[in-house]
Amino acid sequence: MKEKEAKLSLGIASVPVQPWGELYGLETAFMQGTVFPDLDMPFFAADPPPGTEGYRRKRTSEDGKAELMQEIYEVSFLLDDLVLYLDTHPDDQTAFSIYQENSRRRKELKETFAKRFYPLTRDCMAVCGEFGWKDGEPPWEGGCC
Amino acid sequence: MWTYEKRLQFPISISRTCPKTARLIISQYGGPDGELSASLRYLSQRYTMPVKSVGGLLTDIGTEELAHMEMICAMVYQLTKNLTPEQVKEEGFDAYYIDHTTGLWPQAAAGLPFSAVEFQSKGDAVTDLTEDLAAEQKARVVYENLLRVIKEPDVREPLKFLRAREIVHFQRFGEALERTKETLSGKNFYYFNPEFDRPPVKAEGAAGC
Repeated sequence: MKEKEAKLSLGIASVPVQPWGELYGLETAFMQGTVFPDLDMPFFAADPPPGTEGYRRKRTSEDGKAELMQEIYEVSFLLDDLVLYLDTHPDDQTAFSIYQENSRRRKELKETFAKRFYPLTRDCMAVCGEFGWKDGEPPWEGGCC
Repeated sequence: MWTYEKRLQFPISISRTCPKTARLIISQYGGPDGELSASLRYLSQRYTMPVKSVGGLLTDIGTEELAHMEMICAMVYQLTKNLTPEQVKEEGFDAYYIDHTTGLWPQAAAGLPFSAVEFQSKGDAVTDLTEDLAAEQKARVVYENLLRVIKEPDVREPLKFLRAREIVHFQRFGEALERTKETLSGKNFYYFNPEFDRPPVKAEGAAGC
């Protein structure tokens, strides 16, 4: 968006356009629900009780499935958040190149997951067996996490 | 066209059955400010948006809301798994259980069924985007109300995640409104409805269809 000086008008809502800034790392972004520290505005009643470290689910598995899935979650979420930024900032080349790089990474991760465990989408059938419901738990069952 | 990806946007893994909590959380499935309402609102409004990228944003956020609906349903499902008849009565789940057993059905916490009356698709870009800004705020408050009363960490983590998304979506809808305003007259944003009066109506010689 052309960053022209925002002129506030009467009779209509205005929200400032977000300037590009620092990003959280993948893991923090996923836990906080946004990759943008500027938009991370926690709620007091959601803070961990004083003196505790806060809750962190440990996702570990012997075959590496939980760890690989965690990586898929995190990279995919970065893309989910960035795509909305790009929708309103289509000319931001920095955001776009981060998107492209992570989009390629996500493709690789999904292929690895399909080869080692089961396909997450029909497209993954290109690299491994059938996309069906017999392999892997349905996501709502708590799956492999 | 949509395709399904066999995972949640954020994992849900709840160990303890708690129908009381399920009765509260179900509001974000079928309640007035729930995720079903959100996705249908955005996915309905997008068709007539005058700015192409705003229609795109509504598609992307509407799609994410479908993923949020799936998370909420997974939470309700896991909270009512292995339910005993005793728990049904003791934890106030009996009325829901009589009608739906432990099946998922979109309703508000107070029992009202899901209704399209809860959202608008007005066919006016400024109006619809202003509604979307309010919708994100209302959903944020529901998550905050839930976080005040729910203590289990494995339920709170996904609720915190979903609350954070409402703030990001609010910001994006605000930016979408700014983009829409750029296409309108800064002197009078309301001179014509960009979704209906486009191109601005000519006074004479307009042919019928």
